[in-house]
Amino acid sequence: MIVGIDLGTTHSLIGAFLDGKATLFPNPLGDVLTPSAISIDEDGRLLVGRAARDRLISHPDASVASFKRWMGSSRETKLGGRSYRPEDLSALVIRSLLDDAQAVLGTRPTEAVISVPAYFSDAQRRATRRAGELAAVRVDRLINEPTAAAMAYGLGEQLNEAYVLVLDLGGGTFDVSILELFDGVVKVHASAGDNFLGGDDFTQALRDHFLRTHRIRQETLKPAEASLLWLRAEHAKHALSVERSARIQLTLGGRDLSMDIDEAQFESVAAPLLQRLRVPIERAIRDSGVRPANLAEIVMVGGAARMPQLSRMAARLLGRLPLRHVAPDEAIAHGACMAAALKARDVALEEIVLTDVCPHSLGVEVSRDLGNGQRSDGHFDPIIERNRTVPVSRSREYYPVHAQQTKVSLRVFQGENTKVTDNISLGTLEIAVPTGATEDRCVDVRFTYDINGVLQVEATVRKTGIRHELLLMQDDNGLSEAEAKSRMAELASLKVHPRDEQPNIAAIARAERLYAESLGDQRTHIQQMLVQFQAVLGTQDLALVTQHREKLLEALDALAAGAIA
Amino acid sequence: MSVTAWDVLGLAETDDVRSIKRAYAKALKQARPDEDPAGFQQLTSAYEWALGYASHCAHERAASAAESAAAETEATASPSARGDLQPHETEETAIAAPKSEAPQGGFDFGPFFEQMGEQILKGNPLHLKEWLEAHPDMYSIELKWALIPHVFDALAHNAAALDPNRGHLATLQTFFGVDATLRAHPAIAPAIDFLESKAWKQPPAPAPEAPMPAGWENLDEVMGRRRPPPRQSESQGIPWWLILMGLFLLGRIAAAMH
Repeated sequence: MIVGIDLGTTHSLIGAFLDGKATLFPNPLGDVLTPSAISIDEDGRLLVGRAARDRLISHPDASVASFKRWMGSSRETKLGGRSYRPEDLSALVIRSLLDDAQAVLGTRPTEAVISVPAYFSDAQRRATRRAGELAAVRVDRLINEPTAAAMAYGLGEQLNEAYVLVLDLGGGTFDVSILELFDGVVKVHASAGDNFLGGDDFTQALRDHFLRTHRIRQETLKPAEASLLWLRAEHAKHALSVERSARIQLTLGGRDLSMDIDEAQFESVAAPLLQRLRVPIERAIRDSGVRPANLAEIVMVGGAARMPQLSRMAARLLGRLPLRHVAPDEAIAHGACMAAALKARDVALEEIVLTDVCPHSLGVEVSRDLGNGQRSDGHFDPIIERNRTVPVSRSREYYPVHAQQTKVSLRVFQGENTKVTDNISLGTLEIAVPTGATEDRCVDVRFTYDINGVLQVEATVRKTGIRHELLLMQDDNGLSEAEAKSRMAELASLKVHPRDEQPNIAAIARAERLYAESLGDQRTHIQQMLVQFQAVLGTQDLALVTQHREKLLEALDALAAGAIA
Repeated sequence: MSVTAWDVLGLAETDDVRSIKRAYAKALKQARPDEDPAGFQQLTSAYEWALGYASHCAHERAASAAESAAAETEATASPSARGDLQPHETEETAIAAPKSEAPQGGFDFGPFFEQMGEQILKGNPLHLKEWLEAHPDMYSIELKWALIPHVFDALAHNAAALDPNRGHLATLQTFFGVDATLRAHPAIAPAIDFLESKAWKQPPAPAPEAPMPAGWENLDEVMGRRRPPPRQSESQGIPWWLILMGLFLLGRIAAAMH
């Protein structure tokens, strides 16, 4: 069984294509959305999901979220005395999702297709694959998030001969893709994006505005205060999606602070972020050659796509409405399940073929002749231009700069800037070149990019026929196989609470979070409820525990609603 | 004998886009990208070529029907010369037919450029950036792209008066999305080269490598000038229809200015 996983910045989902349709699997709390948050409790046990997210407030030093934003970097997070890389944290989320799949399917999935932002770089894709491997699941295929969403939507609606533009604004990334659907073909024409622009950035803009208004420096906040302010800002952001104004209210360092913000103020606070939404939309339209008037649908997915500012910006740029929202949190996961079924050659999808593009340009560094004997170095010369359908193979020829040169260094880059220094370096190939006539010194460079994002660079000296080869974008994080194994064992050794106890753990985490957020009488009240619940847990009477838990959650809901309103 | 695109698609020569798409979709099920990468690439190249051929035909029909001058700007290579597929050569994408329809009515380049000049004269590129980002007309993706050659050309033409600095050039290139490919395009490369060289600052004014035209009437010359690109045909991936749309728009602007 191949499962589909949407590994999101804010939430993650898992499912599979069962009986001809995508089916999502619930976590122990009964939700298909599992917050992408990790926490380690006092006993050193691992908590994933809602309990971990609640513990960001009550136990900020032992909890972490939004780590997808660090994928591809070597940033380490300390939790419960251990250090974790971003892919380790993602692996723990995947492991928890696999537990959910196993609970439904009866067997543990061995292979997964994971969705990634279309504009993810190769280091980020590599880290995602590694996260899968660390969770003991094979990940041969990644699918781009907007492609997944469009496939789920387009095939679901049975669109034919239609161009669809997908705007995918998640918690941490923004992707724009233009696809065409015809006769069972799902063809991506262009993808563009911003890997560091998502809902979290809008939350941060609101938080910073609050801090500026009250002349408070972020560094002076205690971890719990910082987490609480973040959540209040997030809540205000959500409120501003449906209402004209919102209020951020909380106690910091013993001072009761509040700030009202209306839509217009929010837009001015978020103006630099809103401007950044323009770039990928413009680029995708231009690269696809599809005119906005010829788009059959504009589909918005991702949690942050609920912000009316995104619809407004898109409508303004594309000169049209309507924009269609489709189950913004689940569309990508549905598409990932379909991609998994395509890979498994599910008969229900026999007639479907998906073709995608490489959204980045890949090329080499060249020196340009400026005439009159002058040269300028460090220019980027693309060999595979962005938004080519993959797999793709392209070649260009290059010559040594100097007559006496016997060796050339072929430096490989990814990016869109004219200067290589502004692009991402992928590797270098050293090639010996013969001396002699110019035409004898030609080096043919061929780039081959496969559907799994592996770039192969081949350089052939034309005269001698000597071939040099460089395989890039494989697992080259410096971890040896033995190190990877021990890392995996270490992660596997983290104990989790039994599945049937997890709802209780989550209820306690919720109560503790509310306790941390409240004051005075309310605190006493929550404490009493917690003590009672612990006593009931001690009876080990399953029916009684379930009944009490539900009552506790209801009471907490009522308290939370009162606290925020 | 080499295999033609039509052989690969299993289709008789046609300019009917629908038939080409149907043939591609059918053949694709036997040459999936994950199972048969080589077959898939050959099929996709054939498909892209056939679509280019169809739009070329459509454009020619439209051009001859309208007896428009647009036929002269036809930049596509003769399709018959590229009818043979040679998968191991450097592939070239078929050029999409230009769409010469004007994107927006009512935009006046003169005042736009004048105001842009005022922002540049303020010195700090931030003024220019904010003005561009707030400009309501620049929200039209099509108009914005069509303007690219004209903005840089007009700026090069007025460089001595406006004296744009590196920050202004970077702001403009970022705002208009001038990337590695577009930067090398013959329609804008001479203007940006000139602007980056700051040649107007040197008093005896040695003739710049790419001298700017005396006025708008020489624009055809600017557009027509082809600096030899590094080592390959420059047609890969350039949004031709946008450049041509720009030409058309400029014709209207030039007419309005007289």
